[in-house]
Amino acid sequence: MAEQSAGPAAIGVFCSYVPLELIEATGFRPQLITGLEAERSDPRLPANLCSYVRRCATFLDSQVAQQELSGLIVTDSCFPMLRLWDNIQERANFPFQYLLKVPRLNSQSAIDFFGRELEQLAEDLSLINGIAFDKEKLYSAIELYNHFRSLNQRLLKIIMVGGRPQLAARLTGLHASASLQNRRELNLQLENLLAEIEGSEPDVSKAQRPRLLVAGSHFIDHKLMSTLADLGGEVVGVDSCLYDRIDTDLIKADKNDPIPGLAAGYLYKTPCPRMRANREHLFQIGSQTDNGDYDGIIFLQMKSCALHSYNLPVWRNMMHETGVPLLILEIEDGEWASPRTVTRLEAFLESLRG
Amino acid sequence: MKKVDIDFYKRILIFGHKFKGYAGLEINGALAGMQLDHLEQEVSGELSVVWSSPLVPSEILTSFGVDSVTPETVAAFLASAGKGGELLLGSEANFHSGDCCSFQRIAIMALETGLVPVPQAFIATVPICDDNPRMSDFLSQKYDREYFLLDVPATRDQAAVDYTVGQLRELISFLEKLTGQAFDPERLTTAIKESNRTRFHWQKANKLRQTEAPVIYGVAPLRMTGGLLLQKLGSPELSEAMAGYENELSGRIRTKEFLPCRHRLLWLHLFPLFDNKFMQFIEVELGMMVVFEESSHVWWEEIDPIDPLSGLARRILDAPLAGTVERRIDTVLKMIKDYDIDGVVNFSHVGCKSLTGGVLFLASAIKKAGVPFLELSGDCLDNRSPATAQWRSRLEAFAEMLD
Repeated sequence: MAEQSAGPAAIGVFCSYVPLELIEATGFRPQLITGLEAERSDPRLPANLCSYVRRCATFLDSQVAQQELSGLIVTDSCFPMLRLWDNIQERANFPFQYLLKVPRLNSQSAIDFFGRELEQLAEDLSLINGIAFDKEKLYSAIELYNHFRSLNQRLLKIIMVGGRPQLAARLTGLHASASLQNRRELNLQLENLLAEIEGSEPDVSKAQRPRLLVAGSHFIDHKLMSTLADLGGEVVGVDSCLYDRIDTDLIKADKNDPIPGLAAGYLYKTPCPRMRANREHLFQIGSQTDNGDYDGIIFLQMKSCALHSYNLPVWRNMMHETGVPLLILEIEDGEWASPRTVTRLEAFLESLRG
Repeated sequence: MKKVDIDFYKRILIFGHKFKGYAGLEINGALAGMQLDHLEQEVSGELSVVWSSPLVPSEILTSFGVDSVTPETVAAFLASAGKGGELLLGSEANFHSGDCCSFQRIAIMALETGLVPVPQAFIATVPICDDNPRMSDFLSQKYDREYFLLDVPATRDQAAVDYTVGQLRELISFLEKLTGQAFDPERLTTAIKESNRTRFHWQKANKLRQTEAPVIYGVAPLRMTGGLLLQKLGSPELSEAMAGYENELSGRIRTKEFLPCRHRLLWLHLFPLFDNKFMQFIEVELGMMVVFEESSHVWWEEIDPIDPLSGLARRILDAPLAGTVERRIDTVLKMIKDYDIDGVVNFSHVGCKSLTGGVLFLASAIKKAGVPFLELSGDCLDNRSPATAQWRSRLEAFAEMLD
């Protein structure tokens, strides 16, 4: 904690539609709030509200949050998020509190609207830091994050090949730690991981493990990935919201006016179920499954997340058509490696191995 | 696809129309007749119907000769007819998660079981509900129908208005393609005038309800408001029915048909639709009269018939249930004052994360204003394991506390 307080002040974010580059370019450090910072959900909020949001509310009430964070950016991405915003407005008192409006479409008018939203956010962030917003700094931040994305893409390709059962867990673990360090350090760690992996051959004896896609939920903890590897499976694909949705394409921005490109990049990234484009994304996963990329799919349904819930029958139908087994696990945020979860995973992997 | 059993609806709607019970008003019967007519025309192919969210401006649909039905109204109707639990059981067997709102799950199953015809298209918007757009997307894929998402931000500034106006233009283009008709601004102007007429009489009726003693039971407007009225704005039948509603109220006031009232309640959100005796228990047995309900609130300004899109956009963005909770709080506090409220009851429908998530702050603001507040929580459509006995006990205690 002491090391962090010496660096740039942290701005907490909760949703993958907040462009972290903008926070970085205005002299702050983005800190992704995972919900795991708190040990329990806020009992004052109703039990039918997303457990992630209830945990975040607990964390924001804590002294640790007050010490660590200089500000918060909440999005209108879903109603539980809006209720988190209400909660912050009512009870929190961070120097910077901002509600970012994110369209659910990626049409030109949506990109224009989001671009204007980002310009406003950039101005407000700069103002609080006492600096003028600098487009060149934003462009540099986009380049930094694009490097992060390209490293991820290379790692994901290797993960997809198989034969490295713990690699997905290691990658997710590094993403999880992203909130505690700056992106340059993270990129360095990813480069080191790539160098280590590319310098070694995949373990062919381990390539016979069931190839798994882990999907759903806003965030998947690396402990769960690690458990799957320990149980004899291999995660070769991840489809979750937080940590940038790691298969995102590089952002194409104009050096002189980077915000429109940034807005377009975020609205075109791998869509969460709130987005209109989520349907096409599911078709794409269906077609990958049809091609034999996965032996089994684990869908993690975050308790009380209605947005993801509507995809359950779609996943079920897709897997019924492709013949690929599907495990639906309903989880409360924070119980990633609970005995109940592990037992269900064990049984699923046994069934895949026949 | 199973043929829709019109007789099922006739039995219920005509029964409701002829035997209004202790609380029925002329407008309830008129609306029941209108729904039945539209359903018959839809089944016979004379009327084109889309499913839409309550805040999708129905005037635009009306201008294309398209009727809109909100899936929430379908679900509410079927739950009132005692089919909620049975349909929800079916939805669980079809892998629809209990995390999805029961209004949407019942609507999905109503299509699945052929209880209602499959609409021509689905049009959804986001300001008050995450579930409707997700359900519409799901159903449009399942039934190979077009889907339009009217994307609306959670704020009300000029940028939000401009973006929403752009979205409404996209909706018009979508309807042109769907119906094969060119947009006719004059038809929209006509629909807007009817909608303004409805608004005028609705507001007057609401004002009449501020009288010292109530002249109607609150269950009557509770049954007709919300999605049912919003989905028909722009229709001449609705403005006629609303004028009748205002006349009925003013007639009762003129002849001093005041009802006994132990306490004046403001009712927020929904009520258990499957239990036809529930509101009777509150209003007749306990004497706590619902003198106003949140769903009757007319929040929007008159819309300019010549340039209607910005007015329609404002109506969506200004909805008190949309966006952050502070707007709802401000609106409810004003209602408490306008209707001289003794106590507030909020029925928190568990499927609605949007509203239940904000009740904590709403309750705190109401209590701060010195008005007692009661929250009842449960599923207002599911008749399988209702907590009605517990709700009744709490209401009894609430009435005693207000004494």
